[in-house]
Amino acid sequence: MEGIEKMRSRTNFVLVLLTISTFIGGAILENWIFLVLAIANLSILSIGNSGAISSDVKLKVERKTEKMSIYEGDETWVELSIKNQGDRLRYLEVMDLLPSDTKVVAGSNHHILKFEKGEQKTLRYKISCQRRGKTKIGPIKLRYRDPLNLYIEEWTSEKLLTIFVLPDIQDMDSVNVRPFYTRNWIGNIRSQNIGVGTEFFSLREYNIEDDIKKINWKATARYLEPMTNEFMGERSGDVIIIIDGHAPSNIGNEEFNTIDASIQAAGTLASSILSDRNRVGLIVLGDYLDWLYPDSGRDHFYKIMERLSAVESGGVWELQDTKWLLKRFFPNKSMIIFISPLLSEKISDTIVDICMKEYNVMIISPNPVEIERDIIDDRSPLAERLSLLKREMILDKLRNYSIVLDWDPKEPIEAGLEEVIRYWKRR
Amino acid sequence: MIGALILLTSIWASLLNTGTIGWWLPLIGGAISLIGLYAKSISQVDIGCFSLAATFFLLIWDMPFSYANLIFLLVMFFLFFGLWIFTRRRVLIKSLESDLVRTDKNRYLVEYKGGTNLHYIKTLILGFTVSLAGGLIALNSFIGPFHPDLMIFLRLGFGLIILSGIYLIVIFLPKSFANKDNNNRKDIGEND
Repeated sequence: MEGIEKMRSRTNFVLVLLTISTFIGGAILENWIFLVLAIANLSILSIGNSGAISSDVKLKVERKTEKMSIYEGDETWVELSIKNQGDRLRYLEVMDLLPSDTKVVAGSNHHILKFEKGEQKTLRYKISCQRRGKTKIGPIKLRYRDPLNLYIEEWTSEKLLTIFVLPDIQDMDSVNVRPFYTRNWIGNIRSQNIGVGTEFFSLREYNIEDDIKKINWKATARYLEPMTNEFMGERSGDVIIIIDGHAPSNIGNEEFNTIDASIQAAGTLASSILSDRNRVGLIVLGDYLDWLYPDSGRDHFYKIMERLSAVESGGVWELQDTKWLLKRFFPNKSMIIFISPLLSEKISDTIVDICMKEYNVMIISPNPVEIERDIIDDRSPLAERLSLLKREMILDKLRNYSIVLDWDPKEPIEAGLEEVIRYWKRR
Repeated sequence: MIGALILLTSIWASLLNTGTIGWWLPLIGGAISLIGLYAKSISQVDIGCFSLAATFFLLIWDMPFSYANLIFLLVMFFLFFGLWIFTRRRVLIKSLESDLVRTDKNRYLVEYKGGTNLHYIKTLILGFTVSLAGGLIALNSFIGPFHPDLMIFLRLGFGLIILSGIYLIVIFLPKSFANKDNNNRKDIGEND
């Protein structure tokens, strides 16, 4: 434990002051009432002091949690264990300080406890984290009070517990976002080549190296020679998700804004794409330029979510700055999913430029006008219309080059995506 | 319960001083304490209880000495003191309860309530007994049936006891705390 602070409560000083003043007053005025009050005060101070001394205060405090990372709005138990390794303590007020966006939903983070020598007590409370990011639980404030509250001693344990609050993601079962170009490693995307897979492609004569399980016995009986099944190769591709967290692109308030919507979309897409055994990379243009090289698997998903949970808007990085990053560090022929409210025309030029290269691009644009509609009461219909027109112009231009989703963040992303992918395929 | 007790005590303190100019002053003190209790403010409770007791004792400061009055004085003092510590405890419990989310009982809070109840009653009884004994000795040394030469020694002795008591509480105990605290810092650091 650190930051030991020891103090006497005001009460004690007031009582001492009263004792002295009533005694002096009584002696000067020869008033028996004041003298008796001085004696009564003194008796209380003496009795109070006898309960106040805690000669050997040794406490061991530990905190643990059920889950180190949770989704926004999820709940987790926090367990605080305090062991008294010194003398008996009565009463120890314990308060585990919580950030303002964390709510206690069961139990309490504030207790008053009595400890016998060597006794250990465990406090449990359940918290709900409302905001993505790193939530720091603590420090723990410990305050020893004598029963009469005449003495107070305080300690602070600076031990902090960090819980990663991951952005909330949506379920996406009916839509599969698949990269156009595939790599050689196995995945869930059916390629037009023969390879390892489950989907039947053709029949051919049996070779000595063929696995006996691949023999098609019905065809063998028909052709009177051994025939082997051939399958469509199932492969995977690379997807790079780029989030525009540039400060001017952040529209909305603290609870609901374009950055949060973009992060939710990115998490949802990453989860869906990774579940198809593709590789997913991430570039965040936020407070600083953050990026993750494409990889697959559950661990990589949590890495992406951790990065997403820490996104803050700001910085000087713009989309055009990512062009060199894509060229130098990321694989060619990847699919790029760009998530941005598209507030500047400069962005659309850069996207067109990327589309011209060997990337296939998908744009998901959380609609800032829809967000503002919810938070601004006295909005101007003319300004709203102009914003929508300007936005529609940018989107129309981009639709010539890529799949574009004009997404209302209040609606599930799945429905919108399904529609634009179907439209793009038909085209 | 404690709110009703504050109200009754302040009304009673006022009724006992109906003949005086400031008979309403204890009512003000009681009202401040009540506000502090419901606003969960310990400092308001302190101010309210202190003004309730102080105004009452100032109103009766010229009360003649008798053994019955001595007991009455001590009863009133410990009534005010009891009211004060129980109100402070209630405020602390209220703040703990407000941090408790579920309605089920917090067993530590129940333990605290039970433990402090007993301690407060013991403190009040012990304090009353010690004060009564001290008061009798003090008053006999000031106005008791002794020879004036002896009374000077008694007064000096009484003053010495009071001052050494205060010295012990104010000077000696904090020093011993400070020494122990230095040792504890090291011990507590090792635990972490």
